[in-house]
Amino acid sequence: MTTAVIATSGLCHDYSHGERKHRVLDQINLSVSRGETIVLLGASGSGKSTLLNLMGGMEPIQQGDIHLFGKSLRDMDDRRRTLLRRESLGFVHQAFNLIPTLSVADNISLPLALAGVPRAQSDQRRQQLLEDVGLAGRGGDWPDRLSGGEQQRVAIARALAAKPPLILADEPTGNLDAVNGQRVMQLLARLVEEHSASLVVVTHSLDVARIADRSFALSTSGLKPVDTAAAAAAGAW
Amino acid sequence: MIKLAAASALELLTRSSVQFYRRHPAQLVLSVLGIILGVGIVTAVLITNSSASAAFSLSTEALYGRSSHHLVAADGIDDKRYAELRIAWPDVPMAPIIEGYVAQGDSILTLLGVDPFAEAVFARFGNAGADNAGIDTEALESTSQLLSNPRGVLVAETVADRQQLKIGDSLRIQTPTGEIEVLHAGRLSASNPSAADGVLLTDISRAQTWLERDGRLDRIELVLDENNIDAFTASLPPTLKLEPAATRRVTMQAMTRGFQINLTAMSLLALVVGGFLIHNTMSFAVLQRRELFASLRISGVTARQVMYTVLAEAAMISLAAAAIGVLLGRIIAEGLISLTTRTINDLYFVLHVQEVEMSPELALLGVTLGVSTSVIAAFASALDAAATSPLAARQRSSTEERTRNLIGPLAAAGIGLICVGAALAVLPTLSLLVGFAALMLLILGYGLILPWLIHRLARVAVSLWGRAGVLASLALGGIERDISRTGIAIAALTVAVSATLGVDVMTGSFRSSVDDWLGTTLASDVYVSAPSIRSGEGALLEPSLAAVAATTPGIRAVSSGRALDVSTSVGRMETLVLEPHANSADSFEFVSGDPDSAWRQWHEEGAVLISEPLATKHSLTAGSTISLFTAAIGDRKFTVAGVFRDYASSHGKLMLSRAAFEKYWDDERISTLGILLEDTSGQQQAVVVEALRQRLHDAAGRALEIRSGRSIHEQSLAIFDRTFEVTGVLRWLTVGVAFIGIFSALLALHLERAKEFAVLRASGATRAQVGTLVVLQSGFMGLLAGFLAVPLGYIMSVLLIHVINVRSFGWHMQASIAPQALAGAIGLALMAALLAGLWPALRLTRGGIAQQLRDD
Repeated sequence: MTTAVIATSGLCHDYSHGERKHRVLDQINLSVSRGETIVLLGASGSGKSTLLNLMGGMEPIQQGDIHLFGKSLRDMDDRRRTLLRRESLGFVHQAFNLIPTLSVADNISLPLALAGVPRAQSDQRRQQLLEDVGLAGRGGDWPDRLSGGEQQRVAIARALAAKPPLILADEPTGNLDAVNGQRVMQLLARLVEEHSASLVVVTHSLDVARIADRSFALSTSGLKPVDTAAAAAAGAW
Repeated sequence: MIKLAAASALELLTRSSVQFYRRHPAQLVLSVLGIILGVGIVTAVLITNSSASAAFSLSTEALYGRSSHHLVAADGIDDKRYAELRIAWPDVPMAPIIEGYVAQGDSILTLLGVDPFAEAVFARFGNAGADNAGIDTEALESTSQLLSNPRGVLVAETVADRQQLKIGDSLRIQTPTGEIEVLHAGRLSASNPSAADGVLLTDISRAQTWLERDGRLDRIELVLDENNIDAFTASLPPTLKLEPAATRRVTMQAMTRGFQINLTAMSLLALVVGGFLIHNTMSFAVLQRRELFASLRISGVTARQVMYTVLAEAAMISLAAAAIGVLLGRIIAEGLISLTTRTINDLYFVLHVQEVEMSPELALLGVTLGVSTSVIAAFASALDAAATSPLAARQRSSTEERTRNLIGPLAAAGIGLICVGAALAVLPTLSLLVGFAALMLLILGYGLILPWLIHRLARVAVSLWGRAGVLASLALGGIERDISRTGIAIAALTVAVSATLGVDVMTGSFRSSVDDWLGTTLASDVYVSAPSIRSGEGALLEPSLAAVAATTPGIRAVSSGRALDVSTSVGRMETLVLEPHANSADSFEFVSGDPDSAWRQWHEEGAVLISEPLATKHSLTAGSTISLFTAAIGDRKFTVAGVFRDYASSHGKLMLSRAAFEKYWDDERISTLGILLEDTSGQQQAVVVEALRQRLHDAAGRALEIRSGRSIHEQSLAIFDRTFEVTGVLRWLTVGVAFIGIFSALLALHLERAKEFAVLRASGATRAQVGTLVVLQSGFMGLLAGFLAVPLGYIMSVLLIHVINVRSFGWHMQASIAPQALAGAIGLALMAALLAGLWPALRLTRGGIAQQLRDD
């Protein structure tokens, strides 16, 4: 039996509004295998991003547990979670979240620098990634001089820079038009496959779900498998 | 209709501004705090100066009453002369006065001797219509006691109230002739109680005895009018001089003018640093809302409306803050006033400041200074907000690019300002205001060059240490890339630290010069004087004591001195009459005139030596002449033989030989003896001094003060240090303003980048790494500010020493920079920045990554 890249068990999460509590995740059980692409579909406010943040060790676990490469995130302190994130995870955000005061090249180099990769090796890797995402020659540009699609390609390059085995993508096409969204997803899927990484994408777009090995719908009642073809035919989402 | 739309748009814009500050309360609080402190410091100094001046005017007006003129003589007026004048001029109101200092415990009081029967017309202490010396009903009842009781004095009601004295109580006072017990015969009240503060009033004959002026009068006060003034003047012998009553007040106010202007300038520096802070805050407030402004512009808000919004914001914030600042100034002034009064008492004259005066005009001035500084400081930000194109506003890099393009021309403008400042500094004028204008232009000019320097230095740092690790690269690179934000913060800290360095170097150089000068000027091993009420008052010694000292075994030589005030063509001047000993000539360092020739002319030809401040202020050099009002023949011109270095009196000082003095004053009295010992080894010196003490005590019939040159040296330096305490307080308050500035800048800078730090943490940077990054960047900004403060601090010290000091006090000195002052300045900037970076570091590392990533 192969160990799951990431597995959640009985995961629950509440948001507090003064005295009131609002449950966004209820008994979520999910396991992602190596090289697998999972898409989590859900409407706004369904807890997709919260689940992704919990998987990335960026929100404290309230109830249940998450095992990342067999290690319980619940048992880890912040530092160990951070180091695990550094070694094993790459993030792609809806709002790109590039650092505006770092050039495109420096943004891609950031995870490599944090991981202590020697400069020569880092430069080579960065150049490769720039070519992979079709931005060779744009390394010296500032992020805000790029189009949305280009910025997201930089974010993908950055997420893959340290060769993490798991990529978490939060609405990666949310700020892009349909054509650019499709291109970005194709690029992400291709590169993830080339890197033999696993991918978890949260989205409300059925188009994005087409790249998935498995898809799930997330709602207050929990996580349910989705047949994306059937859902598309039925006009769901 | 258009106006209505504009008003309504401005209202909406104002509402948007209010909402912005509600969301950024820390930013608002810090900028408000900066203005409060800046305005507080300026107002405190304005209040202090105004209170001291008011107290001085009040007391002189009270003391001089309605007198229009004073009649004075070189060494006091003979009693008989007064009687003759009264007979000759029966219609001219005149009153004889004796005025001197006595001490009661630690306080120095003014003892005023009057003739109660001559006082009615003078309405002294503002009590017009009183029957005699401005005393109230209660005192009137005790006038007979005042006259009949040989120990009776009227005590200022403020003094009596403070000490809870009842009529009939005794109090012990120290007079030049020793300690005596006087009787509280009545309360001396004035229409304004502060006017009489610190005054003891008694009958003139008693005052003559207690102050050792038997048979003499200090002055005769007169009420002369246009009809009789010429005839009266013509009737006077040349040994009597008629002065307008205002002369003395003007002279005394001129003495403290330099000191007060310096304090004001120092406080304005705090406001300039506060101005940087406002500029800082408004720049951040504009930068953080670039997208909002862009949206407004797209919606039809004009560039001018955006500019007015920003300026209105600055005005509203500063108005509220300045009003609080004025109240804070009132509180700071309470503390500051005791420090400045002590300095005025140490250096100039005795002044009692009872009331801290804050007039509505002063309060308005404080608020106006605060608001105008803020609006001027916000002007660049307002223009920036208005000029940004709606589309470019959304691009952060365009802001930085624009800033980078701007720093070159700004630096060029800065160089221009420095050139103008330098030209003003070397202008051949003694104007203090021109000096301060030069100083301010140099500071502003350097401030404009700073962003360019910071950008260049940060770039060098990146190339040197950027490869040391990702944190170093991010920290150093951030300073260069975010120059629009970091530049202003570093500049504000640089200016504040350079001000402390400049003042430190100036004070250090001054202290070192005074120290050297004391070492030279105190040529004797031991000094003898009579106990005096106030240092430098020159209580008298019996002339025969010089011979007693000279014949004491173990004593090599004796010099004698007499300190007195002499009326000259350039005002009343502190004068030393010296009978030198062998080492005396070496104790003078001449800054003008050949030393040997000057000494010879002074010693043999009756010329005078004058101090450097006197020479500078009145453009006198060796060979000039100065007229002295002598006792024997009235005005006589004396040649200036040389100019000697002197830091004892900023007003000026002159020196006469004993022979010249006796020729024109016919006065043998002395007030100090300087003694050279044959053997200065500790044990032997103690034996000789003890023998001397005994012999002088036997000869004088009283105990005299015998102090070593070393102890006078130490005491003088202690007074020097005390004088600069007030400067120290202002300096630290200015650093406080700068600290708030850098704290506010770093807080805004780092919190604005919270999302970037969250991305870093999402990418695997630990909390410690993010914290280290923030602290590293803050520390490097502090170091940059510290190093950049050194040249400006040095330039400021050079100006303070060679321009401001010379024009304020008339003395020159050598600039000497102690390495610890440099290290202290750099350390201060580093510590301030590190401390200021701690809170943002804590906040950023404690915040949740997901939350920070969500916030936009």
